[in-house]
Amino acid sequence: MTLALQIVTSGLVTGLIYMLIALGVTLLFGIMRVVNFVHGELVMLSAFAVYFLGVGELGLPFALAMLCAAAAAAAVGVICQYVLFRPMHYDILNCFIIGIGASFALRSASWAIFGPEPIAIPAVVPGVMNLGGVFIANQRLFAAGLCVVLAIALYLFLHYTRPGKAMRAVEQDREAALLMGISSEQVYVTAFIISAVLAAVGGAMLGSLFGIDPEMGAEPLLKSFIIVQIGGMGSIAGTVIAALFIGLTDSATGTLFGGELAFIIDFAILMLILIVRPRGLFGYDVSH
Amino acid sequence: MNAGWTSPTVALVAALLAGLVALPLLVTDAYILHVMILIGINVMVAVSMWLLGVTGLISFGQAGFMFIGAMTTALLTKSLGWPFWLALPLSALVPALIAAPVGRLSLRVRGVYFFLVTLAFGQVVNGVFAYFQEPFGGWYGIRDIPAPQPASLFTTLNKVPFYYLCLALTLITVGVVYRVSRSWFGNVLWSIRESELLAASVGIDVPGTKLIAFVVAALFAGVAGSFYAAYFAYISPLVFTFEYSVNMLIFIVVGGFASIAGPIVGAVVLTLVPEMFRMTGKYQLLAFGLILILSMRLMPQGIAGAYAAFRARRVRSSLPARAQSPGMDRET
Repeated sequence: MTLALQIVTSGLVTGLIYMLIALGVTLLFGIMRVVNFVHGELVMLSAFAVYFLGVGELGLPFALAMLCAAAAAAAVGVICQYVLFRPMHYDILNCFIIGIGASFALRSASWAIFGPEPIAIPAVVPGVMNLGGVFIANQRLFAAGLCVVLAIALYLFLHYTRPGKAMRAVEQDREAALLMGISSEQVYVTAFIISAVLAAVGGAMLGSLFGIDPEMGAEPLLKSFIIVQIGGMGSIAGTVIAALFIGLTDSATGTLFGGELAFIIDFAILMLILIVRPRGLFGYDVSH
Repeated sequence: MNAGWTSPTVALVAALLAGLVALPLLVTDAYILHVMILIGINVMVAVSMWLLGVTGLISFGQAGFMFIGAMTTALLTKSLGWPFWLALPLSALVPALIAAPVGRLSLRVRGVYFFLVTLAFGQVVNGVFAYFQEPFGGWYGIRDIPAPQPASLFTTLNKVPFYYLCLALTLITVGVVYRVSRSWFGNVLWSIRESELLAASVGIDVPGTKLIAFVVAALFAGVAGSFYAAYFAYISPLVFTFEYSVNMLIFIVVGGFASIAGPIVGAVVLTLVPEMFRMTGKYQLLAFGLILILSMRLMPQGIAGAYAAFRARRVRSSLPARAQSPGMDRET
């Protein structure tokens, strides 16, 4: 029983972090039909940024380091948009391929710069909590809380602010939104910034829980792809549900059979979804 | 598309073939032969990937199918003691058999969804082989895979038999894929690229056609994998990675999608250049990433496309002046 609870709690925490990263992927896809392969590298770069700002000689407080890292990630995201995706006219296939190029370049540049020594962001809230026999690190609770807060903030932003509404308008019908005087280019920039900030927070949380290295962006990115495909690309609700589901299955298979099997199980679930419902749980029609 | 069998093209191809066959007589340096073999393997995989790429689909699971082929050869020849020549056709067949159901499922989704599913498939093949120590060797891979028979000919020090075997397999792969791409079936593939809806409306079985291309691509990837296993005598999950599939894609993008010359040119150039500069590992990825970005931005039709445009411009400029269109429509 305790083991089951332990699996569920740690699964929910990982699931929430994956959710944050996958939300960035699904947001960009929903709005401009771009699958951003650089997203994983944003996760990795911001984790390094938080580490070097918050832990090194500078020793900034965590919140400040996090803000700077988010700003840097947003800048990189917007640069990618201008240098990579806009010249490709947001064509989905070309953007995918050029994104892979950028991702490889950034990742191997990070190997050259940061080296392979594993480092970790120290926990903001150290210690372990005992919840009725289930032990959970405070940092995990903190990470989970932050993810939930950001997801709610994203929801409120999309539904109750003007830029958020503009974003949803562009998502529903780009041309109609254009006729209403909404600049889609402006909306795209906002979307890239939000997506990058989500990646940055996800990266900092992953870095504080599992350590930082130049490859750390690859797995969350693959997981987000699986998540958004199960949940339905562009669907926020689908992403949340699928992320928690994947987090739980990963935690269960990881604890019972070892971590390497978890990915195979994820893929099996993905294949099953494709057989039963190719568009994902809440997705659009997939006639791209 | 390129002009067909013009006589300069025939002469060029014939000269190239003669040169390739005669190469071991002229060059005795084992390193050069080794590089040529590497190029041959890459050409096989890139060309097989290109066949499906004709329809606008890119299978990021190509390294996975190659791994399955390599693993089949390794297990059959090492654990069961089969001769290589029996293992080779089976190593082509097994990936093709696996590709049939996988393709049936993954082709249910289109475009970028297909990329993602095949990407995940490649990762899973890698993951399965890495997870099970028995019989796949886990992360350590499989060592000491027997060389093809007769063993007295295929020795580690003598690259020439391997070179000719590789040349033969590469030529078969390129020849078959070329014939297929120029056949009625190939025309159907091109028509799917132009407009899937239109193709379906004139009675073409679009999913079936794509599936055949997917299976054929897996088959030749298996051949390449089988040769890889026999040549290097060592395979591991660290070789047949997602990065390997992406390298093949980069070969095609840099070479150009429009004709089979694209993947060949791309594979030759991008295998030679890193070898010349002795780039390894992570730095090669950096360079390849930048090359991919630059060629997408500056040369969307690849080297072969740029060459075709250059030739067309020369012909055109010798004609009376006429309004010229840049003709750089983007293709992928």
